Amino acid sequence: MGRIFYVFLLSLSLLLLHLKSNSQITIFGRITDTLGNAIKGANVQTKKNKTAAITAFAFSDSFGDYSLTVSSIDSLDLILVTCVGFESNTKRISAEKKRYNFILIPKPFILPNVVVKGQDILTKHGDTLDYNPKIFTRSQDRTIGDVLKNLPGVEIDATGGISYNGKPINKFYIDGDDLLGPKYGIASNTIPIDVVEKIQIFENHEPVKMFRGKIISDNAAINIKLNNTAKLKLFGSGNASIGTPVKNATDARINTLLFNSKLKMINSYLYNNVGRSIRDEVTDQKITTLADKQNANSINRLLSFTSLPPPLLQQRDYLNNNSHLLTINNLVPINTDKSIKFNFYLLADKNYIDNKQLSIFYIPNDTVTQFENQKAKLNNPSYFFSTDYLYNGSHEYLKNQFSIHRLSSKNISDIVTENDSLNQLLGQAEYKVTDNFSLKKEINKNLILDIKANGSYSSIKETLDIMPGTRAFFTANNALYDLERQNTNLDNINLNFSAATFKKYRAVLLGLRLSYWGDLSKYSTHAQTSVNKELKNLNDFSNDLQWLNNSIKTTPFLEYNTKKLKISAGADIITRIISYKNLNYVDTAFSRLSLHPTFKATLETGKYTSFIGTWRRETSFSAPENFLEGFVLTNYRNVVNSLQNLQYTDINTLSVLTRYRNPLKISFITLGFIYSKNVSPSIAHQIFQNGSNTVTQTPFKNITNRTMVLTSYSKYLIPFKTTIKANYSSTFLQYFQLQNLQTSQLKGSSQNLNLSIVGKPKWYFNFELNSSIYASKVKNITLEKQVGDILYLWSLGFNPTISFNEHIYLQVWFNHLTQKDGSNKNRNSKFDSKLNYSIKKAKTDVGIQAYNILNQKRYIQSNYNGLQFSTYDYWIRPFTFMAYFTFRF
Amino acid sequence: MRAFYLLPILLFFSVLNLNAQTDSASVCFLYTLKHIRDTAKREVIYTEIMVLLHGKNGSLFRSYNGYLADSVREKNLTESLNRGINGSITVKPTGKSYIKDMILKNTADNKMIIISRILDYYYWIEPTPNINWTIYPDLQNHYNLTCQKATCTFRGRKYTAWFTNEIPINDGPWKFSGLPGLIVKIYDSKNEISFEFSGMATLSKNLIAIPENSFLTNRKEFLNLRQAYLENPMQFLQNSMKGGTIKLDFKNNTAKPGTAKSNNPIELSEE
Repeated sequence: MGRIFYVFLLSLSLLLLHLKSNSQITIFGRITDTLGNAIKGANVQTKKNKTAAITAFAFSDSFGDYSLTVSSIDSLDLILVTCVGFESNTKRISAEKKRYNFILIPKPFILPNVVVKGQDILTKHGDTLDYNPKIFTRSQDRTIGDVLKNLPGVEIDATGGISYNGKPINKFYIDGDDLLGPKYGIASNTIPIDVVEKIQIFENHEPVKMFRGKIISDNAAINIKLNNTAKLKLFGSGNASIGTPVKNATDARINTLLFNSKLKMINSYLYNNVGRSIRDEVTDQKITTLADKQNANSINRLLSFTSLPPPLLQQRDYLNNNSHLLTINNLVPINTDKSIKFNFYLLADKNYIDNKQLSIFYIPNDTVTQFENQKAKLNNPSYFFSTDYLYNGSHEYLKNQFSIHRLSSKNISDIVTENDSLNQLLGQAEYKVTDNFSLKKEINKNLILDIKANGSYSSIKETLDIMPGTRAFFTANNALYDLERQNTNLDNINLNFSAATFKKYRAVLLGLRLSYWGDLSKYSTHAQTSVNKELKNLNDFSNDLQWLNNSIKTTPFLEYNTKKLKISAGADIITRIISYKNLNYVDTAFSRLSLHPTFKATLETGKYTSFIGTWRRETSFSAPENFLEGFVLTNYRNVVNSLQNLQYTDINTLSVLTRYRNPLKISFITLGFIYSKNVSPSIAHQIFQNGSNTVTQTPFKNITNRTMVLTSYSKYLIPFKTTIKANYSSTFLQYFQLQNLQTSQLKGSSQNLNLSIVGKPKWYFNFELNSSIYASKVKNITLEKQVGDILYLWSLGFNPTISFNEHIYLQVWFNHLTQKDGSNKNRNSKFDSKLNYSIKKAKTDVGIQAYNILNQKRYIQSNYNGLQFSTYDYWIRPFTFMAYFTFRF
Repeated sequence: MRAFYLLPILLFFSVLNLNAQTDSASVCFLYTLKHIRDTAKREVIYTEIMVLLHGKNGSLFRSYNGYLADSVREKNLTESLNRGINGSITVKPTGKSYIKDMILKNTADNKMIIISRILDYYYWIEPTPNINWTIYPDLQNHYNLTCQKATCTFRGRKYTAWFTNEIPINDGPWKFSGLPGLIVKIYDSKNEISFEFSGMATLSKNLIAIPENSFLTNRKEFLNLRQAYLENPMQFLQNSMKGGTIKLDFKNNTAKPGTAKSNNPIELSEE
């Protein structure tokens, strides 16, 4: 027995020795110069390719000899010799050859371009990118929001939404905690940059800890890592500005922040009447995924004021406001996995409107002209409160969020139209109470249970008064009326339950989700008119609707996840059972089965490049308000009648994206192609008349095709300390339009190129250069009659800042905007300057700022759209001078 | 006390034939050293700029302030001697320098010379440590250079290093070398020690050599001497004085002997 054992051991040793000798290969050779002299101390390295990491290395000895052991040889492997004073030399390794001699040619050694400050710019650890904020902070930057827009690969949109490499982020963390949820805009203007140690991007981020490594995520999150000084005590910041010419022109805010182990807090109070929209600071940013959106049914307000599209100006230049915001955000960490969070805001936002609009509709056999001069005061107070409990453990996840949202508005306007003068009053009160519950539990290593329950109650009450006027709908023979009144009462209960289970088999994850959601909506809308002080109900404008939608969704899904290839496929099988009662209390019920397949594949090619292909097909149903039997006066100009058409739209979307991000070269590239086709059995028929517009839904095979090409490029140029960002998008759209009984097909195309360069080449000088070019054309391919030409918009902005010493800087902005459409041209030039004195570096400043649109008192913008021509005339802010003071404590 | 008797012997046997160790730097790299010297006070991080003078046959790694102080001292010495005031010399220390050791790596004979200072320079020879590096495929951009990760265990600490083969110099800060490129960043697993590249320097005096009038010793004897100096600097001073008087001007210098507390040296063990 013993002998057999020794023989076995010997055989095993020989086998292991054989395997070892087979798996390791020794390469050797000699390194000499061109005269045949041995070179000592040369670096000999093996690599998979020129830019890859070194796999093995050795140094030549005093005879120039080297010997190097590698575990295996690939046909593409290289052997590389480098030595100071000589040109490097590379050879391809073959499995047959073991000796590689090198003759090195003398070459003076020039040091590569090294950043001598000794600061990392961007580093990558696994899926985490660390930006060094000091590199991207300019002398005038004070808050995290000022710096985020300078980061290569990161984009900030007009309302403060953050995207990384072309995709909105899914979480905004402050020191690892999700303090603000989707309302993260407040952080941008609150967190001082000097307390930030790193700005981190978490690629492929899955917020639920127990899903990490199990479920595919290609979302990115941002984390603001704070330094130790921010974690010790309460600190804060603020600013106050006063100026002219608006009476008591004021811009002020105070922020208190705390980030210790027991409490995380951002509390702020803001006030301004100088055109700074503070609503953006508490607006939900785009972070929801498509799957979440599908279950979020809500009712919408029916009534509104007529409004102009926002002009192509910076918001400060056209927003006439008086706004207060108080926001309180506290998070109490119970332990590393558990926390309780409270978020509250109170917003009192008043806007003043003084705009004009002229629209000409070139319809067959007629030309309709509409004019409006509206002076309005819009008062929109609102508050929001939410409390969240979160347990995010490695095997269990529990979250409950309860929120109350109250929005109201009291709007009053004086309107002059092409026919008459009138006043319009709109009062709206909206409540929404919501509770979202989510439990995810790991049953065993491969099996997960996922339960979600959401419930919400919404109530909207609206009253619109128009007085006085003439209108055929309301009075016979266009007689003068004293008052038109439209009331709406909308109530909605929404319940949603879902349970899912996943099972993992190596690289494959199989799952099944069962969901139920129900919507119960009640609509009651009535209109009255008063002629000679006598109030009469209008039967055509009375609508009562009770709507019940019960839906059951079954979603089988599959994920295949390997290092290089990730595939996810699923299909929502939805049965909708809808029943409703209209004004006459006629019960109607129908059911519909729809299939929403989704397919997504991500292929990682190399370290930095990925290809993402997505296809999705879904059917969207119209909102209950489209089933109202009668008319609704939505504002003084528009009347809507939906005629109870069941409207559903089939949406097919195909997208192919290539994403490249190389943290070593600090460059980010996205190339994308998106095609979508929407098919709907009805079309909105718009009837334009002098005085009013009517919109009704009409049966029609309505097909809309949209093709988009998107490219974005972002790079940090180290020698110039400059970030370049360039975006180009091209959109082609083909759609139908039904106006005044005339159906026509339109083709639109638009090209948009944006370029932004932000640099700080010297300590005393930094600059920002922005340029965008936009061109669009809409062509009516059914009718020969055309209005308009190619619309060009070109904007150029230059913003240099000169620091005279560490205390004083002068910042100047110059913006020029040109709009051209055929012979119509509009040029707008704006000048803005700021002289700042820092009492305490980047913490306490005093200064003055002045801004003005040089060549215009009002901004006029024209728009051509097939057979429609519109001119918009906006109020713009007059010359403004402000003195300011910023502080830290 | 016994160490004081060693001094005259050392001085007598001092070996000053340093020609073999002389080289001049072709390039000088600056590093920032961050060091938690007292583990009871982890919030106190000593920071010092170090310089690596790299030449054809070797390199010298030392405190940059020490280098500047030596330059000033040499200049003062020359000026004072030129003035010839009774052989009395005033030495004005310049910047603070708490890293006294200089490391001279000699690639010609694979030896490492450690030079340190207690009023005078002493040096001893150690074999170049055989650091067993493990390299990883991780690449990062540091200072516009593509760097690769490597790890090692050295004298009681686990280190992570980032080196770049874009600078094919097999050298680095402290006693670290042996990677196929310059080490630009190295830190230990406890975050108590880190050397980080912080620039290039053009130095007027770029000699890679053991300072003149240095005394050969060994590590053990040097540590005994240093202990004796820390215990009684004045007596040490009296024993070491030869010829003219040396007057130390500590007014502008906070680095007084024996004031710095350290329970956490860079090297925790001999091996």
